[in-house]
Amino acid sequence: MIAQKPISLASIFCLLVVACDIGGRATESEYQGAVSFVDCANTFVVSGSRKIYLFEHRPYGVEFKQLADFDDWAPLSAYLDCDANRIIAPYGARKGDRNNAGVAIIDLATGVKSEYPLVSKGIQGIPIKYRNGILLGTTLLQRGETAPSFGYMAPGERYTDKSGENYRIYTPTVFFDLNKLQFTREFDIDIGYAVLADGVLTAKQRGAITAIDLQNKTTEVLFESPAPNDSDNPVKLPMYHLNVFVDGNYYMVLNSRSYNKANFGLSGYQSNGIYQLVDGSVVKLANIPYEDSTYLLGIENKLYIFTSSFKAIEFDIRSKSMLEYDFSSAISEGEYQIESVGYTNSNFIIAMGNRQRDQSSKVLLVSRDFKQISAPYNLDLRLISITTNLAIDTADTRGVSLFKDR
Amino acid sequence: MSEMELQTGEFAPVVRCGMCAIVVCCALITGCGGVHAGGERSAVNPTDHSAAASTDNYQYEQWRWRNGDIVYVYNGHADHMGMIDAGVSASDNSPDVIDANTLGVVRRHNDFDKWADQGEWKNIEGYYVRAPVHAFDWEQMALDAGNSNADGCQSEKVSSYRQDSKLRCAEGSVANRQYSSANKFNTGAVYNAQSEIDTARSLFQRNSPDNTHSSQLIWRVYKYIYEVDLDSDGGWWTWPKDIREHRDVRAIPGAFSTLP
Repeated sequence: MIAQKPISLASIFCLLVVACDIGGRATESEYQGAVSFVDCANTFVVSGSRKIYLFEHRPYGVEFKQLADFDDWAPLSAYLDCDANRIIAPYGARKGDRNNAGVAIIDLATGVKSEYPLVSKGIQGIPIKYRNGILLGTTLLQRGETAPSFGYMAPGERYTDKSGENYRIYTPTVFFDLNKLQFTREFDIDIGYAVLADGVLTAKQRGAITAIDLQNKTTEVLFESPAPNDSDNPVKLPMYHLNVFVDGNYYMVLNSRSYNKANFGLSGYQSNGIYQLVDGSVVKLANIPYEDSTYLLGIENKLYIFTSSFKAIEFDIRSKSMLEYDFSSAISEGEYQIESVGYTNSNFIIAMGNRQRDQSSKVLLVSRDFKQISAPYNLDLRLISITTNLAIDTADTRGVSLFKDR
Repeated sequence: MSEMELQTGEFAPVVRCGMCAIVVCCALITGCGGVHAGGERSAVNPTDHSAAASTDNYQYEQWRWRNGDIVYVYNGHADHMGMIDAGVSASDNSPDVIDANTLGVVRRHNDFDKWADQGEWKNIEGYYVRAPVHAFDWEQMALDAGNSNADGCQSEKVSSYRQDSKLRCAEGSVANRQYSSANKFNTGAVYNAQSEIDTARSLFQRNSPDNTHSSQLIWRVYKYIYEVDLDSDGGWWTWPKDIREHRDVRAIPGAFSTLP
């Protein structure tokens, strides 16, 4: 027995090594004790640079408490997988290995984090839950000579080289299987911002808006941007517009930053308006009285527009009626700006960053009827995303902006 | 769950208050330095190491990027370069960043801020390439002078720019041609430029350090698309410094930031 003991330990060790090789790398152990929540519907994950926080709010109330926090490096839209009691955190880079990307999984029962790298392809964007896994965008450019598998080539992917040969450039979409814990598929399309409902992926896909039926592998083109020099049809979707899909319909809000002309004006659109894509055309639904719209949500036939001055506009898509709310009094001091807004059945979760980057960020909850608001809670975060059981990170309009005093 | 830590406050919906919004917006815009649409930019000598400080005088909060603008990022250990793809087909309605990683492959990033954050780049600077690629400073002056038609070279304001653009002004329709020139920049052209590097790797990347891959991509892209050589010293490798110090590469006022 004495002689057998080291062999058994060695076998166990080997098994662990093999298991890690197959299933990923258990790179960090941050055991904090088991993390439990009462009702998944009331949980929310707030993540960003270097941190992932897990919170739960009181049922039908705005009071909330922190359940756990984990150190991480630039996670992308981390979310809670309630059934498996784990946090899924795609990542695009690691401090010591900037070419690396993959999916990290934090087991809430043990606190152990395992990483499943995708090597150098890079990962970006917001994950989309699909069957038993997630669809993820990548950064690595690839050239394709043929049409993509779903039979549609978005205008932003079409090119002609100097010899006159047509080709396309795209960044593939990959599928990570959460049961097998590995990347199992790669799709030759750049899905972009997309929402999956009833097997139909409604996507803003490099200059086009499409409805992709994943079951039947068909694609309906709802809108296609004109080519850059198409003078007959100059009306393009503006840069820096806020957009959201609601029941397969595309809605757009323009603010003071929106433009679609070379000299930074708007052609074919009016600023500060709400638009909807109808039968291939973009139709204006209403004017809004503010030019500082900064965030857009679509929930159950209503659009919610949040402004930099901490106002919220509730726009009823059916009746076209509009209500306004002001929660600026809750932001008592400092130069805060809304970075992300998530929602549960009863609350909005609003994350704010400070223009002075050495100042803490804040998160607060506002009830969906705008009658209650929580006190703000300080976070050690930047580039914040919020995910809940209802929606993984609704942020799509964060992008290229340079502030003098970050 | 009964021991919630935070207190609840209440607030009531308010009626629409357009004037208040305008006042607040104006205050925000004024307080933050204002948001301008491309005008009033003036060149900063990229070799001037106080360039970032000198831009503090500009009332820009943010810059509206154009195709081919160059982003230079650095921290205490390394530096890196990327280019802006501002085509309206960008996935997330904001310009993309295209760069090469240390393995020499080309990537397209939808989120500028996350790109900078993941690389832990503490300092970010923006540059554009002057005529014949991006003579937009001239073009914008013409527009400011209310002279956006074909000639665009008649006003006094524009005259001051004619020293740089004399020949092109004389030809007329400058703005249109410059716009077309900028439109040559696209992801496909960048990919093709990198392909040329890959097929002649021994020529472009022989023993090249990892941190020259991003600047060599930019050098090659400008040569491929615009036939402009941005290597200011003509050395074997093209370093970020070589591009920044090129006479036609200009700092973008306001497009500087420092992360804590």
